Amino acid sequence: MTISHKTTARQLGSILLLVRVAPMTLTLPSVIGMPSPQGLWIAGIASTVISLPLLAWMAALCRSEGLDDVVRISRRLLGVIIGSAVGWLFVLYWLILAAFELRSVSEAYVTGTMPQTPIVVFMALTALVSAGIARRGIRLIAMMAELMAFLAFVSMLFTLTLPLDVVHLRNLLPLLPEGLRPLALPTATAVSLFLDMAVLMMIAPSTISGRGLMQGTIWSALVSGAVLTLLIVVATAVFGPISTALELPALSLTRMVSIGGVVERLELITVVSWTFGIGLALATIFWAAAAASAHLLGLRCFEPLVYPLGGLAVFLGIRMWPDIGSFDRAGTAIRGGLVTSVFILVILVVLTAARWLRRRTSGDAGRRGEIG
Amino acid sequence: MTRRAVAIVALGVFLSVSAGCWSRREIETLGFVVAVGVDTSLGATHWDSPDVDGDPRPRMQFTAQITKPSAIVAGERSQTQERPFWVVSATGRTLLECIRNLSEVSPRILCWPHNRWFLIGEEYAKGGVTRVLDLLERDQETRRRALVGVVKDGRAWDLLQTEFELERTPSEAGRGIVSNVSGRLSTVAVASINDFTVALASEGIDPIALRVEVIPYTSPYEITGDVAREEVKAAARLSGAAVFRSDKLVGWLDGREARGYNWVVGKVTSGILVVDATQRSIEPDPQASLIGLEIIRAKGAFKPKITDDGRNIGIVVKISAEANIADVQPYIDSYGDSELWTFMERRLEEAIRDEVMAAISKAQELRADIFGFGREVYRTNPKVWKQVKDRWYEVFAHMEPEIEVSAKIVRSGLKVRSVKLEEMGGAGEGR
Repeated sequence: MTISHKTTARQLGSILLLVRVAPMTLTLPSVIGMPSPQGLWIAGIASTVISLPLLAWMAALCRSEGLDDVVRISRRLLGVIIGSAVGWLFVLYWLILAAFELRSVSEAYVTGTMPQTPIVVFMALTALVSAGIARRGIRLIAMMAELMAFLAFVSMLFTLTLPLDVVHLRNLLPLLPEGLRPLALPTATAVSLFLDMAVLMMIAPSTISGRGLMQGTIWSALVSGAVLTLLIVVATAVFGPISTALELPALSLTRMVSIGGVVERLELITVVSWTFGIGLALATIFWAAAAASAHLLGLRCFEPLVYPLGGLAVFLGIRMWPDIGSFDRAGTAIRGGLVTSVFILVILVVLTAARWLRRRTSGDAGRRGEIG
Repeated sequence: MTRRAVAIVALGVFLSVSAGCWSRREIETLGFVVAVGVDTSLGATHWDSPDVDGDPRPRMQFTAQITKPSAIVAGERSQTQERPFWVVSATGRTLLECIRNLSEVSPRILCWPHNRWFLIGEEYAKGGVTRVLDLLERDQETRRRALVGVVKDGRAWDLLQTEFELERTPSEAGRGIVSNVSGRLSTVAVASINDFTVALASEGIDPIALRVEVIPYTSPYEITGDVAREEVKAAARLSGAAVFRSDKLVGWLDGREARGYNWVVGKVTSGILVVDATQRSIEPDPQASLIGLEIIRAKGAFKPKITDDGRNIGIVVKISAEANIADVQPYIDSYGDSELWTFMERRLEEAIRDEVMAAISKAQELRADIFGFGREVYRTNPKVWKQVKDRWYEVFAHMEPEIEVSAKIVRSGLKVRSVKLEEMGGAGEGR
């Protein structure tokens, strides 16, 4: 754990890794319901390749604006009214994302381990703990994430390597029996999950440097892309055609672990990594939503907003998706994933265009001044 | 002060909620299921659960073998002759209904994570097993690693009543036997619930499961000891394989055929193959001229051979094996007879080929592609698979596989020459 007044590249990478890996270790929405699983790992690579420049774009935008956050940048480039509207849209997006992840981890607890417990208990407790961390600010989150990302990574490695005796790599063949077309939806879904890393545009002011911001972003995208791809490969190799019918693939993988026929029931590893990983990912999202709201409301501190936002996320998490079917579909590119992807891409395009226009205008003015 | 009060209240709420878990289960309220079985319902038996809504559809009989921890512990201290498990049945239209109906007779909640066996009676298996597999995959307590077995000429209920020497719980004894047979003979086809369901859901492969038989426990001697076995009526034998077409049982492989299957799919780990050594032997009695070769390492794989744009589909099976000379009846001098090794290697190759052909012929006869030849066609050439998928069983049944076996004898144990009988006097004179 690095103690510094600023968020280092490694800490930023760790935060983003947790934000990205968290939903992946739960429902793996990019594979659920897909017809042929053999080539889905290609979607993992393709989505990483597509997402990398988009994430770099976000980092570059913040870097070029003097490491400012997306709310301030929006207000500066688009004016107070439109900029504030953009800021509130981001708050709404993070709130829905928090609700989604809260529901996601709680569904996993209920489905995987404790079916009788009302889901609201898990949601409320997770929100309470995460909001408690978020309230202490991004510095604590960054330091904890640095440690937890390592633990989550190790637990993921366990999940991927321990069922080795039941891995049949020939289950990955034929690669694309129906051509490339079926890859479009899982790739788009995975890209939408990568774009959840847009939270980096709130963390930017606390990072140590523009270079660190870029390094952390690219590092986390590459590592989480590799984890996503490997998870799909192993799940397909173990479960073959039924891998896309599993509700919690990572949990199912750990349930297949048997070391010498004696050491079994290692799903505890997955559950622990959910608890810590999702807890910190949620803390980051709560912090981002609260910090953005404080800017927009002109408050000097964000702390009083964290718990109410946590409560709101719990409420939304319960009300937005009446059943697990609608929840699963909400994560795919044809539902919520598409909306969030389009939203973030449009914001990026608008902000970049506004910045270009501003530079052009100020540049022209400068030149006119010289002439004059 | 206010903050401290809020923190204390929050902590109190947190502790009270987290300590009172809704899903809590105390260990003394649980019955640990170690093996389960499914049969067609016999109806009107004492375990037949009451029909609540008069549904005329056929019911199934679900049987669970539940451990009695107290009897196990007491038995280890030689204080009891009580059977350390309880076998209980219930009927219903779905597996879950049967399991819940058990609540009427079981004082404890059934706990599934320790279940090792999913056994199916022959009659039930012939009618299709998909109906009962869903719950085993869907429920969070059941394990996909549990083994699937089919009871030949019998019911799962009967099998779950069997007992074994050396192990107090039949479930553990069964696991021990599977481990022994697959590691020392390779004459069983082992399939977990995961293997079975993956095969069911895959293109071009039919599932296979363990074949289990109930055998009468006959001992002419009075057995005494810590566990009184004179009450034991039946034990079980695990050998061979149950062959399914789609989800319906269509036939069986015996032990030799099951090893043939294992050769093809590369699952042979060891085994004894007895070859005839009459030609190389000076043993006058050809009946006693046998050499036992112990397989110590083996590999098996196959690939489709597609010619004429998919009109001709064949399979090339490649097997390699290493063996030791383990058991010699006639006189052989493995040190002095340089051609003996080659001779035994050829005989071993023939023996392996015979086993493989026996397995393939049986599968062809049953029209069940348990090897996954079709799946390999699908994997390597999905376009050809699309053309032949609808008539695959016909193609499979008339396929003439090419079998390439390469065997190597590598060691001869602690001897290079067997004992040569020194004959004295004329035949029949005796000594």
